[in-house]
Amino acid sequence: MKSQSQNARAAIFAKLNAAPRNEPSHELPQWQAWRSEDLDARVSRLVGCMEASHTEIVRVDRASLVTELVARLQANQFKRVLFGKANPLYEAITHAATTLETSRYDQTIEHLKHDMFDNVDASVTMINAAIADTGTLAVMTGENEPRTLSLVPPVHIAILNESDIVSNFTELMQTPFWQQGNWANTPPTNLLLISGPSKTADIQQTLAYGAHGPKRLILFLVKE
Amino acid sequence: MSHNRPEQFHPQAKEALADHELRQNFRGAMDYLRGKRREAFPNPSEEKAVRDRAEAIRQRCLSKLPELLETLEENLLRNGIQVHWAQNAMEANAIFSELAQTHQAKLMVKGKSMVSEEIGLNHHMAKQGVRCLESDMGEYIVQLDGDTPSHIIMPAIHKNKQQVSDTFEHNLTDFTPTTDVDTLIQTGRNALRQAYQEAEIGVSGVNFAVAETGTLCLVENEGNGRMCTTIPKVHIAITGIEKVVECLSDVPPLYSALTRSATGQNITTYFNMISSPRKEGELDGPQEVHLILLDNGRTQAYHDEELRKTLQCIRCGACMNHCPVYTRIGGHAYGTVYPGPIGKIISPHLMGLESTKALITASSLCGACEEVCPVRIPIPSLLQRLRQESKNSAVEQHPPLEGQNAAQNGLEKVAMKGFTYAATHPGLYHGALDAARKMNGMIPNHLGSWTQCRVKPKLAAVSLKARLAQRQGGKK
Repeated sequence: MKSQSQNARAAIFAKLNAAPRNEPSHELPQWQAWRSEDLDARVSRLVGCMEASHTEIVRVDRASLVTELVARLQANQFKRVLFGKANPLYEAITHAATTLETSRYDQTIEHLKHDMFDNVDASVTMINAAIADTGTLAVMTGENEPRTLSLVPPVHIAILNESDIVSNFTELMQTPFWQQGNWANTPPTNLLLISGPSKTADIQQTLAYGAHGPKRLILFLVKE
Repeated sequence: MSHNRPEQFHPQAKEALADHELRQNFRGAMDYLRGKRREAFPNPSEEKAVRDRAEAIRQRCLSKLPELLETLEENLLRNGIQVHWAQNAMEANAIFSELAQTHQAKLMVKGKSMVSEEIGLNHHMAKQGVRCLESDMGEYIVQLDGDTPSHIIMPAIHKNKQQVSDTFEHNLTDFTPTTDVDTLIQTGRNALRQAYQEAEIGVSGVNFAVAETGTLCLVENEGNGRMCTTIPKVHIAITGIEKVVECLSDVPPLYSALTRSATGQNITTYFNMISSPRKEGELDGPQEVHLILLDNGRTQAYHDEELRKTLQCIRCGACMNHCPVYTRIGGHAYGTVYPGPIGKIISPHLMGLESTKALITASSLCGACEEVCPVRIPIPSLLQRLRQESKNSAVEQHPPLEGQNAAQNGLEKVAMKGFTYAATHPGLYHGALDAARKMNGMIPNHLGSWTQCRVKPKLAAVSLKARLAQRQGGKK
């Protein structure tokens, strides 16, 4: 396989290199995605877009976050809720919500897979950056933020500080959040943009939520 | 349908035109998608700006393609992603077979990938005893039917909800017929969530491969793409060599142009950027990631600077949605993996002009496709160019295309030569017209396809030239 692949590589490059080429033009036509210097404008743009894509938004201040979260978890009658292993809210919620079984994502997926698919009702993840333009949450996955945590449980609860909302995707790429990804040397295994619960319009253009991933996305938007 | 072939385009188109339900399904879907796209570009100057930017990016990336592919490969390898190259479907399938064997795979679960359709992966793996399960809802339905996608973005667009219910009823046990879309989607969801856990290998396509970082970007709404690239222990991505972009900053405008053109969404639910297999300490994600880079005729298009524009395509499907031919005959009639306008200009490179020569004539050159293309591929000019190549030998210093001159017609050639001669010799031309005027009554009523929807041509008793001369009092 290796040698055939190398032969194919050589043949493909020979053909590409034989083609006549002009100097590439590095001219970049001007294009500006939506942007605003005003935080309130960014917040309201994000809220508008995310609500349009069926995200449920709960606006809270920092002091009432845990109380509100626990109230929501209980009102929805969730039984099993999964947290990233370093989630700073885990202790407080576990302590406050006595009817709830909370657990941490602290083993590999090989161990957790079936339980997560079959028994977990909701997951809670901390979001560190978001895009106002399109109503989008950015997730740098990793040890504390497994990829499946925001994917497999039927309800995804995300927590975001208002001040972490930037204008657009291009601006996101200039934030410290993005740059901690060390893209030049060891890029993040998986960076995700999430803009609502999973959906499909594959049957007669009728929009249905909960295609393969979460059926609901609940965003707690925290005002500091 | 899956047994359709481009060689049989005319009878297939005829059959589709006579299918009222099919035409209704397509008409409804196309009207819906056109409306959605229109709403997604409310500001014409912003639309122009994002398309100009997207076109410039794609052209720059293509003009540096060999260098970018080298950078991409280098960075993918540095990141721990294994890179494979395939010149054609056979070689790509062989790579899949070997990887499946190494991992003793019985089940591969697939996210939507048109390139995997292009190589006939499902069929190939079935022969090796490996089941490939489509997980995109549309593709899942189409696969249950034993069929192929009829649209590159919405694979089951040819079916209505009643027909989907019928498909489930025929193929799934314990399914109660329903036209409730939520219930239909739930049915697919439940079946597939089981499969993600069982499959040894997940397969996906790639929307953009970023050279400077070695990152594979996947665009989707359903979450099946994330499932396929996260749950199984091996992830194999396959893409055409043209999908590479130079840098991360190229991604936002292309992504915006793609989703708005495709389904009128400002963004899709998920944008999945994968740069490596599971790293130490991480708790999920595949342990191995492979990328297969496929040529399959793309280098032929690349060799010619005009035809190279074909490779600018970001597979949004807007050209299909706006094509009067596609709207009427649907995607299956073309008999190719890529239907509609983009299919007509890419398929001759993938399959040769011999089998696709009818497709390039299936256009009125109305130009709607070019008008909506987010990267401004001049599809009508490319169609004309391919028509030219299908009827003539290659010009000097230009390697012939696969199937060059396949549609040549001796009689047509002689007739055109004769006309050229007459039209450049006024004496002969007017003499012939005068003679024809005298024989007006002798022109037959049926003149092949010309008179299919027209009456036969009738020459005026006095020519325009003679009338004008008369009006000017005989002055020339």
